[in-house]
Amino acid sequence: MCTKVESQSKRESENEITEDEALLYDRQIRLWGVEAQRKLRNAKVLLIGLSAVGSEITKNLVLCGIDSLTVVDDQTVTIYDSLSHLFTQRALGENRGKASEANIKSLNPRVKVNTEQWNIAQMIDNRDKTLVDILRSVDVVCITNFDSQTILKLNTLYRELNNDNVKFYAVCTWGFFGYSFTDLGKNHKYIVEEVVQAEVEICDEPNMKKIKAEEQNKSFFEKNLSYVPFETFLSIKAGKAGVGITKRTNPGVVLSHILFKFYSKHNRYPSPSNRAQDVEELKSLQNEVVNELGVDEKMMSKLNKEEWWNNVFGEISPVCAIVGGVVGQDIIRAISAQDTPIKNLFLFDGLQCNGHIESLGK
Amino acid sequence: MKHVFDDQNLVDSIKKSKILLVGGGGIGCEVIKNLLLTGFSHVSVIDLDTIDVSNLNRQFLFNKSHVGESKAKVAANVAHKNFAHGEHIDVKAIHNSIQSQEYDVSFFKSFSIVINALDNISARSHVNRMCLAANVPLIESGSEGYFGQVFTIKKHVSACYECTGQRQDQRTFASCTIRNTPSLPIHCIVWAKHLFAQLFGEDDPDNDVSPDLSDAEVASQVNELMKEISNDKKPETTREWAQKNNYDPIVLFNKLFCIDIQYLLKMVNLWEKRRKPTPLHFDDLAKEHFTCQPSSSTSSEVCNGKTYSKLKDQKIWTIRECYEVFSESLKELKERFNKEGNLIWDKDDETALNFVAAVSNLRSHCFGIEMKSKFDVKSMAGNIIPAISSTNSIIGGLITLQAIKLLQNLKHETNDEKLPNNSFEDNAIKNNCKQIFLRKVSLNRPNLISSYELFDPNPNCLVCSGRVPEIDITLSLNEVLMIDFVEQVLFKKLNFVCPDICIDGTAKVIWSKDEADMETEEEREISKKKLMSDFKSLKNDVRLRVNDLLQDYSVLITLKDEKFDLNENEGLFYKIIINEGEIKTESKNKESTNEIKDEAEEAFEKTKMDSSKEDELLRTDQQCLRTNELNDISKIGEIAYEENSQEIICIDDEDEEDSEDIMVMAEYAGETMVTEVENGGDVETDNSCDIIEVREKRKVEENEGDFLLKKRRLD
Repeated sequence: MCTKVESQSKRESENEITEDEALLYDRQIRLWGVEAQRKLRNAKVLLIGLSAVGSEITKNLVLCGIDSLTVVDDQTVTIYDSLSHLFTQRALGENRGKASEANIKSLNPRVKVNTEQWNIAQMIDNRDKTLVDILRSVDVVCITNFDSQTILKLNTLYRELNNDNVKFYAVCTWGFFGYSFTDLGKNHKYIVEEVVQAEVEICDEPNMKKIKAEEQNKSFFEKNLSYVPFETFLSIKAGKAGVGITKRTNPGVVLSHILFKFYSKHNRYPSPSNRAQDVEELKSLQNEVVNELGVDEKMMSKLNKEEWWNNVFGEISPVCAIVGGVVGQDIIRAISAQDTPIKNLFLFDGLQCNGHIESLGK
Repeated sequence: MKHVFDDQNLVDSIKKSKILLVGGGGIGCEVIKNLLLTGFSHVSVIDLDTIDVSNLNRQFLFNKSHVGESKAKVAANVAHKNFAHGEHIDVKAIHNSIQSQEYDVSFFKSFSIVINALDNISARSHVNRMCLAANVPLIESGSEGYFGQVFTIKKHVSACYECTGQRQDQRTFASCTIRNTPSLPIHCIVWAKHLFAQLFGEDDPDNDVSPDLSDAEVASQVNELMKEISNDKKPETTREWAQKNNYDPIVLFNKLFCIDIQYLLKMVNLWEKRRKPTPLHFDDLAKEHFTCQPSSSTSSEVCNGKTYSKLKDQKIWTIRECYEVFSESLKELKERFNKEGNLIWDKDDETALNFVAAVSNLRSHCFGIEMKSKFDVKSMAGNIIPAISSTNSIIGGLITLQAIKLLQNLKHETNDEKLPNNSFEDNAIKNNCKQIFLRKVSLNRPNLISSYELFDPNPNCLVCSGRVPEIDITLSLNEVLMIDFVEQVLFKKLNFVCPDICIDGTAKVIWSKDEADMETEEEREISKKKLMSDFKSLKNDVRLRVNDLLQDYSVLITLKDEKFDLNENEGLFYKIIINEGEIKTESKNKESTNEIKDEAEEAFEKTKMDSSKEDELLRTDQQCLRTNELNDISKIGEIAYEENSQEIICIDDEDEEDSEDIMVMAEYAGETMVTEVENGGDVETDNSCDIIEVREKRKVEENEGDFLLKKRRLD
């Protein structure tokens, strides 16, 4: 009987958390449990775009002990990276991914890290076999600081290849503002631990004091959520609560449309080196977008008071840390299929220090 | 290069400003990275701690090769190497305690902003006082699990860290609960730690582990029980007894889990309404059911129909295994004690942890309390706060954004001179800096990160109001050691760091921290044994002025000499009444103000509910009174009536039966208003207590009409 147990445990051991790992990950296992940690250690993540916010997401995922990370980035390191990027200091002019690789690995040698200099937009258009294979094999795809067209094409291809069973994140930061879109597919199942209010009768005698043992009353519940593709997000205009943008919708939604539109016209996001012109362009784009979406102009009044157009330039370190923290944490939730994930937008306003979750599309 | 910030003044003042970062741990690593990347050029980081393996999952500036090194030094070096850009970047590392006397008011004054990234209340309170004394803005922060908060403290502009009253550093339990009637795993864990201290640690009479005869519930039986003891020889300490028996595991086992339990069973009153404990004898251990795994604690757990494996430390030991671990750890600790002298319990000391895990589980077994794995015992005994990198990342980012906001609103100074009462600057801070909360993602709540206006300073705050607070302390001068008064009351309760004690109105210092430090070993030993009554000027009603030169902070203490039963005071040797002075007329208005404030308070409450750990930054306006028993409801009503209480607030956990009890109580209480506050039953996690608060209106002759919030224990 003993031998049987042994052989079974040997077979399982590859998937089991070692004592070393238990020590290293102790403080997080105490938060999310061993089972979540076991799922994390098997998770393969594809990150497209190692922007500053991408580097923050990378940090959070590598530290917590995922199995492997593939980074795709064809950009070169610029002077602006030195203001917010975690891994590219003193590597001006080099490829951003390659320059980061060693630094990423040193965060946690247990995680396999691989960087590629692919032109992702082209590969999507060509349905490149390498890309298709990787999209079929990874557990999570995250794309940062790309334009809405590339995000759309990638999300569509990824969904198509996996029968709508996806874990997809699109993240951007523009100056003091942050945006993330989550698509966890048609049916994301997860468990939530909730306290059930029930008293345990410890003794039979009726006048005995009842002891409420709270911890015993916690139980797991399985729940599920359905997400819409990025295409749906792009097509949502003003409408009734739940389906469209209403007065109560966070203005960050409109702001993201303005910036996506800016990119599609100029093939870049606003740049500090072109500030004066870009500010004017952003202001006029606001009118266009407000009209196109059919939303109430007043919706933007709060952001306009802060002159948002002056505050959407480049990537700012603390904003990247916050958005990268929120998204990193949400990716961990999605992988571990534990706790309620964000559905389906996270909008951060660093001028007000507010981070809002918005659910758009049915 | 064109900067990402629109404002050149801001870019300049970011470069010029000097930042003190207190704490180089989870939040500290994040903050130092953000500051350097953002362009801050003068950052000093201070931390006393060294790097541990369990830090590496989030303190990303450290790796395995750094284990054992100074957090401050490694953080400063690595951050400078990876994130400093531009010229003349100055990152200083200080491997020391911020509570050390070298860091005086002028040290704090040399910084533009101080940032707290700490994990304990004592250091937070100290930095709070130093920043108030130096009039330097302080950004305070904290995180636990998925939750966190950040807020800015500026003297006379916003609430300080201590504006909301005393923060409890440690949860305390009544000594009779620990010694006689444990009902939760934590009670047995506390008892096991006390046993460790009794056997191997520094002598501490407060941590007795034997059955407690002074328990009010056994009062009627005391004589009868005492008789039995007097048949025995003269009482000896647990340690003397253990040493006499050469720490024999079987003898110790039988005494702790059989004889003492049998003795407790004789206190029949205790078990009238409780489940009786079962003595456990060494000879029983061979029985089969003590050597099998209980069904719920096999090596795997079943969840959603799937079987998952557990970590080794997450398995619950059998009784037999508990004994074996007990016996082994006892042997090893005995040897270490004989070699090294007194041991200090530490959660990372494997043997010490094994001892507490085994002993607490054996005791739990006797009392029919759920047994806990070593993994869980470590959490509870070591007060471990779960921590993840993403939460720290968010909090670190929010702190940096607040620092940027502060610089936008602070005057751009060229030298150290700061103009006092700069109301423009103060207004700007009040309008632009926020208190920010991070919550867990929920389907019902769209605000993941929400910010609110800073709270106003509490005009009655003991620390920032500028008044010298008056405090009444009741204790027995003949019984309390001076050193205990200083350590437990002045250091632990009132957060002093280097106090001088004078009789008010005279300049004569009767006790000073400096003198205590300078004494020779012998003199120290003598002074340790001095009772308060050995100081001739200490008498009933004497007024003491306690002055902390470092913190620039003093209080006036009136000593009341009185003997009382420790057990009626949660085991504490002192009672403290803080004389609030004027009536808080504002408080009523505050309650009815706008929704935003309510939500902020709700957020406080929420943070509080989800995390009851000691270093949580709680803010509660009400002081709560805990009571173990609610079975004599009418008595509470009677007491309230007799004491002329104004109001009883019952915080109830939605239990209908309890509500009925409260109605009964209200009848007895006569005109006293009884308010029932419902909560989800989440507030208390430490025991099965209900919480009752008695808000008393007392007529004080000298100060007529004053309202005093007085804590009272109702048994």
